[in-house]
Amino acid sequence: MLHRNMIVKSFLLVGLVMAPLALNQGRVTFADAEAQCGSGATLVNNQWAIVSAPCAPTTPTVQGVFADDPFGTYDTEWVVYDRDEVNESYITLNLSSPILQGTGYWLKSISGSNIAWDVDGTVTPLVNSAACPSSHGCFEIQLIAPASAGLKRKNMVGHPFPDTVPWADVRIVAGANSYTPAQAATNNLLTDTIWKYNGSSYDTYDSTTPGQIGMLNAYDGFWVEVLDGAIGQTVKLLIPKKGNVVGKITFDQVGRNTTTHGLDYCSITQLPARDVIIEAIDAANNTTVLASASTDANGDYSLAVEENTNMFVRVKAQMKRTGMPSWDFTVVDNTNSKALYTMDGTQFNSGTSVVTKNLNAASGFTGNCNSVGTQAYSATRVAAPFAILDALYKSYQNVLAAVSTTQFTALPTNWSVNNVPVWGDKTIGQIGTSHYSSGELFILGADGNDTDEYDDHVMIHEWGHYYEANLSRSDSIGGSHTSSDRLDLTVAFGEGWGNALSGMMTNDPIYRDSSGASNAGGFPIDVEANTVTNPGWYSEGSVQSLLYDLFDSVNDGMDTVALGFTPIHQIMIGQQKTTTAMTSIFSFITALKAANPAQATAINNVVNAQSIVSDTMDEWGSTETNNVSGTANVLPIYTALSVGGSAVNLCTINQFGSPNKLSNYRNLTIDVQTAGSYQITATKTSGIFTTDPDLILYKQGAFITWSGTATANNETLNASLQTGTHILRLRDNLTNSISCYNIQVTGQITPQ
Amino acid sequence: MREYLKKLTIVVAMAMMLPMAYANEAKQQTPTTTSEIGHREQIVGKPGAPIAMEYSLKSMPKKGKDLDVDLTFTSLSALPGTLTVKVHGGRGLRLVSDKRPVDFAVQNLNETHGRTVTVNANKQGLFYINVITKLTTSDKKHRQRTFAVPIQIGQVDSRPIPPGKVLEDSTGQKIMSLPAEEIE
Repeated sequence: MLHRNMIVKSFLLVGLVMAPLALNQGRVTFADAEAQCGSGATLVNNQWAIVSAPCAPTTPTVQGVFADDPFGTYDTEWVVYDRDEVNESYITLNLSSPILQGTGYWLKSISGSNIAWDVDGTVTPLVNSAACPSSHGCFEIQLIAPASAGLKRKNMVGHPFPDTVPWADVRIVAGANSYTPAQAATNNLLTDTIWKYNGSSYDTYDSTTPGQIGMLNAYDGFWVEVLDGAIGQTVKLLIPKKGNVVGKITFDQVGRNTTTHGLDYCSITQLPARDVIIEAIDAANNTTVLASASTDANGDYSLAVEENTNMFVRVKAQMKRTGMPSWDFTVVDNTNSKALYTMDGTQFNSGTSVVTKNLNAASGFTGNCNSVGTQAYSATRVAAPFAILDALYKSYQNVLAAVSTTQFTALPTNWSVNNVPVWGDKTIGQIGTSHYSSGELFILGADGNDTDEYDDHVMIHEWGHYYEANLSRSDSIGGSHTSSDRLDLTVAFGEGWGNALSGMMTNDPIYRDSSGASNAGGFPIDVEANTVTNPGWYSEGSVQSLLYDLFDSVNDGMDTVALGFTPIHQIMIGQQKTTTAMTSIFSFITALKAANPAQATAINNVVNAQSIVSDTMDEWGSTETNNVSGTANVLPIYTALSVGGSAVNLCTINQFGSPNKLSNYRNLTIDVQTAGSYQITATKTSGIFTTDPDLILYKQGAFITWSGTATANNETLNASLQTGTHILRLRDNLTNSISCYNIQVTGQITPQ
Repeated sequence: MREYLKKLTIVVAMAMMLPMAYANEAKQQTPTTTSEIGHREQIVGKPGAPIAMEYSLKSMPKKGKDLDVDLTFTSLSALPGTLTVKVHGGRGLRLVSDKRPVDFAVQNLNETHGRTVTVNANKQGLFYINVITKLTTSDKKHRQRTFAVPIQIGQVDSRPIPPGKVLEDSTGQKIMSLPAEEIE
């Protein structure tokens, strides 16, 4: 065992709450870094680790390598030590100290949580020599020999590659000779043992002992021990670069006719498939993964594989990263056992030199683009899953630019050529429409009817619903909607958010949805447009317009504000998630103004322009005056219902449509002072035809309970409630143009 | 669109489950009670034209026989406008009746318009009529919404044919292996 006296150095790390430093915020950062530097490592809180740089750091200093990850304050929450092999002592590094490849470094953090970190850099520099066992070259690490005979000297070194290299493949050069680790031990140059620190003690490995074979992994630091036979010689480790398979992955992007808004098969371009998983598959069994990586922001990849091996390259329709940040976006075939789409190249032999394998996912269009049939595709539509992923890539990269530590919930996207606009059995493709439900996306693929794989804005609109459900909160009741509708306030916000987000993520305010014969028709929505049919707090058109105005830097109409995405995202993942009211434009704008007081007046101008009262707005919309030109039963948006108090009379109406339109639902607030059991009743007071009312109870967006019995004209809800403000929603089956009810909380029945 | 709306408008799944129940059966069901709906809808879909569609098959679908299908469109728009309906047969299904688009003047919310189309398929299987609707409203904007009418002919397996090889990867996950283009 090695002794770590340095670890007892007074290292007073205080448990400050850290504000994570932003990772490099360029869109290409994560994918590029992974291609050259691996997918990163995780540092366990309050444990030492020996680490290394698996690539040539872009900025080779402590600051450049580590401080772009969320470690916190240096020498307070984390620290790095180097080993001085000559003097056999430790050196505390400062932020400007150099970080060298091939060197191992002690790293520790006491920030309170495990930290995912990585290195940004370029390909490790190689040298070629006769002793190097790889035709691609080796990385050299010079070792320090013992000071005198009879002594040994340990050297702390670092693995310089993102790919795993067996310790047995390393060569030890002493003078003009080279040795395997086992031979070096026999020749009294270097022990065959390497030491890796596991967080509490050392594990030992060598090149020959079964079950103890040493493997050098990305970000690994480790100890080797130089023996006295090396005294007087220059001793180096040669760590071989394994055989490479490199290339670019692309997919066919079908272009757009901006007049018809449909697809244009005369404009097919090949775009990089970014951050998708690449695997080298052993052709001997078509299953074993020989190497794996992800493409970078240019679609480029590099796989380190064994030489002279038969294999093929597989590209998975999956973007995945573990640690922090993390994501796992896949495209699967809902009509074939949810199989993950992949595309496979042809078999080849890795040989002894670099092999280039560029693969493209074809659209499946093979006809005359000037005379497209009713159905456009005649070949396999390989590109579609990768086009879908590209829309999601734009989205999550923008979120990461705002909050670099975001951990995304896994999201499968169900797409198939069989996905048609029919509600029915999703396993045969009857998905109804492109939509988000129960943690999954379902996307249309019906050639000649409605395909959405190339409709970025549609994809991102639906991803926006995923975003709300997983990063923020949505109280939307869903349902059919369009920009001119007067909608339930929760629907108006959710759908307006989806439309606006599609513009924000693409920097293109024109939402386009293609459909029809030859997929050549479609329609646009200009989310930048200020003139909205039926504007107001109940309009998705108003919501999308004002949200996009708040985001963009183009001043138009009353818009002089340009917040960008980050402030909007911060509200969505903050106050919009915790509001006591329903999620709506009121909760969002109220929080946004509070967080950006200097912009409040400019925000008011944008919101007021959509016929929404902004200056005095609160999350309840209590000062709202837009009641659709004096329409009864639109305001107030929330009505207080006192426990034990008088009945409140509210009416549902259907004049704006149903079942998710304005005032189909009416909202009440109940402030519970004492936890206990309560009874809430709704009794019809007017309306010609028999109705079926329901009562649904929420607290801070969480569904608490409901009563939906078939009892005619009244409903009773018995609920066990905790203290705090609850939202009660009243609805009925809208058999009358107007139906009114007395709603009452009859009081606490049994204290808890 | 949510389950709720499905029941109100385009309950076409019924035709899949009951391919024999065809004649004179309106494919629309209005819940008599809201208890059928559930407490909260969870399906959130893309924007589209505020149009609902119902359909009714006029006879039992048979191989090689013309089949009349009644289509009924309901405007869910509060704005007046013009509804344009285009119909064509999906793969394997031929539209026998007039292929030209039909326009309807729409004045009121919940106003309905009908069109009968005739289709024919020369083999058994599951086919779809593609229905493309476009509503141009008085504010000079237009939206589209598409529908598909399933036509099941015969009692044959209608499971989709995989577009590639369904395999398992090294982790046991099912994958759909599609061919890549090799680029120099």
